[in-house]
Amino acid sequence: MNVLFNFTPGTTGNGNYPITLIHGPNGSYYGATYFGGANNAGVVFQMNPPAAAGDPWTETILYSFGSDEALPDQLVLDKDGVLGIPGALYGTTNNSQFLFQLTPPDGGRIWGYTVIRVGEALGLVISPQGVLYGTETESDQLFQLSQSGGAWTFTPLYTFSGQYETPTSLTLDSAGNLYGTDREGGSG
Amino acid sequence: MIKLVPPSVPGGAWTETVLHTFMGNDGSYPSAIIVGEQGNLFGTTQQGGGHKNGGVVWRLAPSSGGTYSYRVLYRFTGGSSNDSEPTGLTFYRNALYGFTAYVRGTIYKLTISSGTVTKTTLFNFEPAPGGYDPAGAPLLASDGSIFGVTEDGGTGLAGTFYQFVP
Repeated sequence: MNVLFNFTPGTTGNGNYPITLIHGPNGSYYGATYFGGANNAGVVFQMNPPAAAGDPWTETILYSFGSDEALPDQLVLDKDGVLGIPGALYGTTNNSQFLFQLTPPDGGRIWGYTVIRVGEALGLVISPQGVLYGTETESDQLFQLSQSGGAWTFTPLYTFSGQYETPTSLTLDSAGNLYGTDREGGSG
Repeated sequence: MIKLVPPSVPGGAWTETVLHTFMGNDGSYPSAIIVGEQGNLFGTTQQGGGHKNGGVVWRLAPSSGGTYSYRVLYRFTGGSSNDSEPTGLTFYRNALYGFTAYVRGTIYKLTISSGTVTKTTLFNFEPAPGGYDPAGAPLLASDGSIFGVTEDGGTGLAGTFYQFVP
């Protein structure tokens, strides 16, 4: 195994306890750390491949969460801009239950951070049709968040009932079907 | 394991179907679901599966009439072995790549050929200054190498970003 980058703890470090990684553009990767960063409340980062073979990978911190926002735990990429902005990242924070949007810099270097919803959003997935799906265990609902003209609309889609728990993870297929499971998987 | 089918007409109702109920011996505590080829679903459970409760890799294959058939592809060793507690899973070029979480964790590969499943442990994560406790699911690059992050380890004891070349 080749360690390409070592994270370092503390508020002067570059992120601590990475918990997710996804493919980014041009051979880069996006991810989030649960702790570390300016407020020790986690960061969203990009790992950039070396410009020349043998050079090191470099990290760019896209956003350092505030202590009132902590702690990031999910991240998805809107590669083609089906939600409105190509290259935007969407994710959630565990403590504050924020669903956030990070939009790529337009000319400068600063990513734009917007909270688009406050509330539970488990199993976050993005559809090719331009919808974010998630679940809430408090209301036992599957919901969607869609965007039009910059305004976000929250729509409950389905209420779970009966013997099976509300799924806490979701997977989407190419036909638009969702697959879900709760931690117990329906046993007992 | 449920399937949620979107309405065929705008404003219609979503439909929920139970695809499989985990009973313990076939796995318990599901930890991943992924979509493979030809409608096959694959996933892991962190526990269950007999042996010493090490968890399983499973497959749900679509059959006629919208039903699915469930098969345990691999039962992890469990007990004190690090061949336990599977987490993230990825389907890539007709193979499954996954992580286990127990102790420092492993990277493994499953191939299915003519119904025969072959499981290979590719890497045992090492203590610091190596990275350990893999997070998420293996990300396969076009050259077949695996990129990932570990929650712990590294020279900063705060996790690593790594590449593994099988």
